[in-house]
Amino acid sequence: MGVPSLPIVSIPHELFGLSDKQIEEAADKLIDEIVRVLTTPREKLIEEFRSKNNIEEVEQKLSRPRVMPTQEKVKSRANAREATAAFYERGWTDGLPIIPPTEELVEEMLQFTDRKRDETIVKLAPRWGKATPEKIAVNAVMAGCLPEYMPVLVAAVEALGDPQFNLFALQATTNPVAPLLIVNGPVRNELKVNYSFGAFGPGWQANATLGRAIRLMLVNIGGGMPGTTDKAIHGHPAKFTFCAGENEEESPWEPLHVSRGLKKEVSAVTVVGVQAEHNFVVWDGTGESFLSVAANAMSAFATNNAFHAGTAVLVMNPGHAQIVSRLGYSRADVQKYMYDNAHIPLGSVPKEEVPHYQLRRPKFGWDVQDAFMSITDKPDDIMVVVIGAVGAHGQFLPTFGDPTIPVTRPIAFKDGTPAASVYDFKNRKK
Amino acid sequence: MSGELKTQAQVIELMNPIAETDQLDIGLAPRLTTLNGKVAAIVDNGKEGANVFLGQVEKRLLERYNFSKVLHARKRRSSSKAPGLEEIAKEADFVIDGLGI
Repeated sequence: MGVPSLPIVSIPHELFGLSDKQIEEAADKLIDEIVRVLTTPREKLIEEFRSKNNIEEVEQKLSRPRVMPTQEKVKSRANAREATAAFYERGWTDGLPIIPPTEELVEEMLQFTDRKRDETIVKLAPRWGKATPEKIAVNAVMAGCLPEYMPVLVAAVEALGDPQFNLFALQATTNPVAPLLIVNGPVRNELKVNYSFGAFGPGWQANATLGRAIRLMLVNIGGGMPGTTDKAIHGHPAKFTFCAGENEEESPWEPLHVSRGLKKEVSAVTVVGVQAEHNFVVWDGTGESFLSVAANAMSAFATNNAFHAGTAVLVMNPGHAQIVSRLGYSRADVQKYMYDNAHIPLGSVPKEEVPHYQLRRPKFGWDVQDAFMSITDKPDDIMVVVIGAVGAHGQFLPTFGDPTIPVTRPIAFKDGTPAASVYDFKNRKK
Repeated sequence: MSGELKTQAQVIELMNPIAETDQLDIGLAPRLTTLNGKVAAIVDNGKEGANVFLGQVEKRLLERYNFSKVLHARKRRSSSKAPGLEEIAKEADFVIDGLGI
């Protein structure tokens, strides 16, 4: 992104389907060009690039800040439609209308952080944009967030910037992966984050706008611009917004953030890079049938879990969780069950695909008849979370696989002390 | 009614959502006058066929040049960082990096 004139020697077709000999021949044809771009003076390469490309257009597409300084304000008439149009034409929205981010609204949001407005909290890939409270607040206002949502956004951005999450890959990939935010602890009720009926759907301001603010930040801070740096082949509606609370009250088990090492009274946000939901229905009211149906649903073929292992998310509604709990299953027991039973017969992998799977899942007996591969490499990688209302439905959320690891961050002050309430941030000394 | 319209016609200033970055200052690296005697590095993105392609590129380059060293890195997963990049960043005079799908 910072080197638009980088000389790239292109193979004029993909390598899929070519024999080794054909690939070697392709390399032979390009060797002179490879040497040329390594040894031709830099100025000449830049000149070549400029003669073939409209540099202003490329810079505008790849590096908007060169065109639009990051502190320059946008003038618009005082109505949402014109403000939206001004932002949309600069590529700064998700295509939906925005709340015009006036200084006054941004200031209100900044009341809910104890950090200085220009302090870099993390840098977000692939542009390595500096996520400061001010930039978080501008994007949050645009998304329709209320000021008191700010502490959750700061924690979520910290989580996205954790190297374990591997945001660079999630932003740039062809895969339809989106960060899911799961909110736990007292802050969930304080902000009215829905965790029951339709928690992944429309109708709740906190769910809708927290997730949307994250997407706007991934574009405007991280530089994940759809079609340009974000190369998702199909994308995913969850890339507009995806945020829910856990139904802690009706869950028979400890909350998700407690299972991930935090205290119950602490509020937290967990980010997970997920693909689309795979819904499944369990008609019979026994726990055994739930476990069996869920394991079969999670055995879906060719998801990134099948291909890459990593974390797989099982979303249980509280009714299913209670039934399974009454059978004596803890959260860890459900994880173990899914690890043991959610598996794919190796024989179902077409022979042409086998080498690709073998490369990524080498530990299975690819030459053994009737062998299976599990969808994760260990039981702990099955993330069990209780979301939704009592009913027949459950969901499997495949993730991006092992290139990403979910991250949980407490809603905390700058010194790391967890906050009991988002309102404790208000007017705290910066 | 007219008051409302007048208010909507007022010009307001809106804050900018784009973040600062240090990455914009990266330019194209100076080129080499010869590849002889240099430390070469080959980074394989782990996608299908990349190792065959890059292996052939290395073979052809070695027929033409004497490198002082050839460093290799291969991504275990195409979406993960390749181990050994730090060493390459420190030592290599040039890098051939396999990109794409």
